Amino acid sequence: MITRSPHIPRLEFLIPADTTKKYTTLLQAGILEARSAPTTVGELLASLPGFTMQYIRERIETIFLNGLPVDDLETKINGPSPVLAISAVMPGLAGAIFRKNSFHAALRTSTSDSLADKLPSTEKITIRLKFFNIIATERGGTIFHNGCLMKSESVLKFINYRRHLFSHLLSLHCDDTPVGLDDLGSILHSSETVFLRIQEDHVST
Amino acid sequence: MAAKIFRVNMSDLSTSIEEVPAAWAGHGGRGLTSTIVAAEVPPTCHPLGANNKLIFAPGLLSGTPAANSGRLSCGAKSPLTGTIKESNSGGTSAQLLAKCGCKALIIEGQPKDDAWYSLAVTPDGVTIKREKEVIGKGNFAAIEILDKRLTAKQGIIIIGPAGEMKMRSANISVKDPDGNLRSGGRGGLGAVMGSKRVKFISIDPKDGKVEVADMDKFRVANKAFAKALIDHPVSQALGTYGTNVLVNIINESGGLPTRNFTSGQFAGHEQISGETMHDLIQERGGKVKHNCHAGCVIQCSQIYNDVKNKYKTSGFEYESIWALGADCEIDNLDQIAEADHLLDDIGIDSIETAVAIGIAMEAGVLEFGDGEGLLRILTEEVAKGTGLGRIIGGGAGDVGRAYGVTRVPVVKNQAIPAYDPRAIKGMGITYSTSTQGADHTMGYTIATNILGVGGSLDPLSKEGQVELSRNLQIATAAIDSTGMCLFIAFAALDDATCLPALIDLLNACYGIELTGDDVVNLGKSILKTEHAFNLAAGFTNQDDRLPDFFSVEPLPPHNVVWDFSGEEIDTFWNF
Repeated sequence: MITRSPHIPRLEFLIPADTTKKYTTLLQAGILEARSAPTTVGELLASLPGFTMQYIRERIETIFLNGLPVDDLETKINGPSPVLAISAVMPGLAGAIFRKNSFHAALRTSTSDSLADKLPSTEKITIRLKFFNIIATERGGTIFHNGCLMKSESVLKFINYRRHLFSHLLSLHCDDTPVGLDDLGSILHSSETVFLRIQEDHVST
Repeated sequence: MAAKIFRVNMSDLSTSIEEVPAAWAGHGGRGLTSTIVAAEVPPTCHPLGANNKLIFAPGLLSGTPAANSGRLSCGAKSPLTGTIKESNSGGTSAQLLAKCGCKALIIEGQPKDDAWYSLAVTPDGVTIKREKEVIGKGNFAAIEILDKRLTAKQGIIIIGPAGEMKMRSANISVKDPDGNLRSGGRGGLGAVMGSKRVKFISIDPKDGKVEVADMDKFRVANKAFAKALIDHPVSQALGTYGTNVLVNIINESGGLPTRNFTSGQFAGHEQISGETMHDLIQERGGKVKHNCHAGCVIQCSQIYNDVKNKYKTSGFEYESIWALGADCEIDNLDQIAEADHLLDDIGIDSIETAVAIGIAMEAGVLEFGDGEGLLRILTEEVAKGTGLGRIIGGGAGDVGRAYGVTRVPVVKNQAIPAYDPRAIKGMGITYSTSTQGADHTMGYTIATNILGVGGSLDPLSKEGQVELSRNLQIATAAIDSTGMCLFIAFAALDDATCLPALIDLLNACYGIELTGDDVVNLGKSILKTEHAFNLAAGFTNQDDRLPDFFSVEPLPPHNVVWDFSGEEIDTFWNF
């Protein structure tokens, strides 16, 4: 049985310059953002680094909150562990159906009695925020540079699936102490969440 | 020189070149294949018998420099659905056929012996030859042999072992600019080509060209059209992640059919997403952006390499990855790519076959998630035509019947693709009412605003939703006639210059004065022609229905069911 520590490890990856985009797919699993309720989709997104209102309105064309499409940025985020996913505009009839304020939204399935509406309101919420496709590549660098809280399982899964990528790390620290790639498994198993920072090396040549 | 009808009779091995009947002159692509099938194929004939006809038709703009105009339509009565069928694909053949002056190639009759043949199309007509060398070979080996025998620039249309065995899910494959394959899938038209004993068709246009009535106007229109396509953000997403960009989105919506349509979300979706695929392609020296035909400016195709950085597959589509992945609960993209390669080599539909295997998994033939087992079934059973292989090659419906499985996601016996109609009901309306069985490409989002086909009823009422779906199918039928890739739809929806530029292209090419209304009327005419054929073949409104389980089995995580009545669906044909 694995004993989980309440301590949240702080992982820092130093990677070669101009290579952050290779890691942004990790954001499809989502980062964890703690907020006081009530908050709205728009407020949450606008609080993120690099997310101007123009970017949110024009670039983020597809939004799901707890699996339901969102048209209105004023939509309140409810529940103890809500999931918000954001994406650029998507292809196909299905892509058009889920697009924000789409004419084709009429072809959605009505889910008014669904799980999302039954979620209770709470004062403190931790939102799992997933970044898909172009949104992840365009804004992932800043998010990783500033650091983000993630589920340890998501990071571990990514590392296991993309092990080759991690052979290019310039350095790896946990709580300011150098560690090896082989140590990551036990570090990530020790806590449900991890604070992850990925920074590019702009000093070495 | 005006394009002609090239006709091949496989019963007496004769060929002819004919003038285009006036009623066919305004058609191309799907409009033309469906018009010819409706005119010349007895609706009740056996799809694999001598009375069925196989039609190939380039689009109205194929062979011109128009961007994204290289789709080849293939039509016949489908052996899978029993309905009229049009399937289209990229590759080089549409443009080359058009340059041969061929408006449509009609293959009819059936040889009296067991010999195999090839057809060679040039501007002078069609030559029939006996063929032995590539018979029984997979598509990739056959193409390699033919590339040495023919000149490199010739087009090739070919069937694999599945087509030779007349499996009802067999594809017709088309060589692409890199010498790889594109598939005319869905509906089993490869089996019709096999029933005609034609293994492949080569196309050599020599110095043939397609005439454009007003090249100056054409160039202006093409520039505006291509710009609209290139500038659209969906084109950017497609050129980066391919259609597989949809995995994460559809999974998030709860509409990603998983484990033979028992759930709407797949735990392994991150391992098979477009984002992950993009990274693996880059890491292994593949291409994230690739065109399936010359002149494509969107480039949604890609070259996917294996772990040893060797070519594995291309045109790795969302629907194939969903079917082999989530529906069979396989979360290993390399196994899915290997399966996609095998399916291309066998020449069989990746949606139909994978959904069939998902049903076989439910029946206990193999475990869900067993990627190695899936690959073994493809190589040892389907490719070799064993009993199990032929049942799977017969499609999802055949597997359900053979193993007594009741959860069989088909409409008109064709497997429902990658969007669960319980979670995305607009897709369900398209699946149930399509003239060609369940097909996600039948009702695209084409310029409902510009064409004025948005609908007049309350779009939130079921009647209004059916009306909207109908109008999308009308617009799609028209676009399918131009030879244009359906992915022009997004730019046509959002960019006010796109669709007018497409109409200008048609007008400049033919020296005519088409309007948006003409385009809509063309689409209506095609749908009505196809529906009339199906009614004459014995189909009724009761065939325009989703399987029962969609109405009674709630789909997690939203626990939604399909709630359209038959009467509501039947309003689709009120036009």
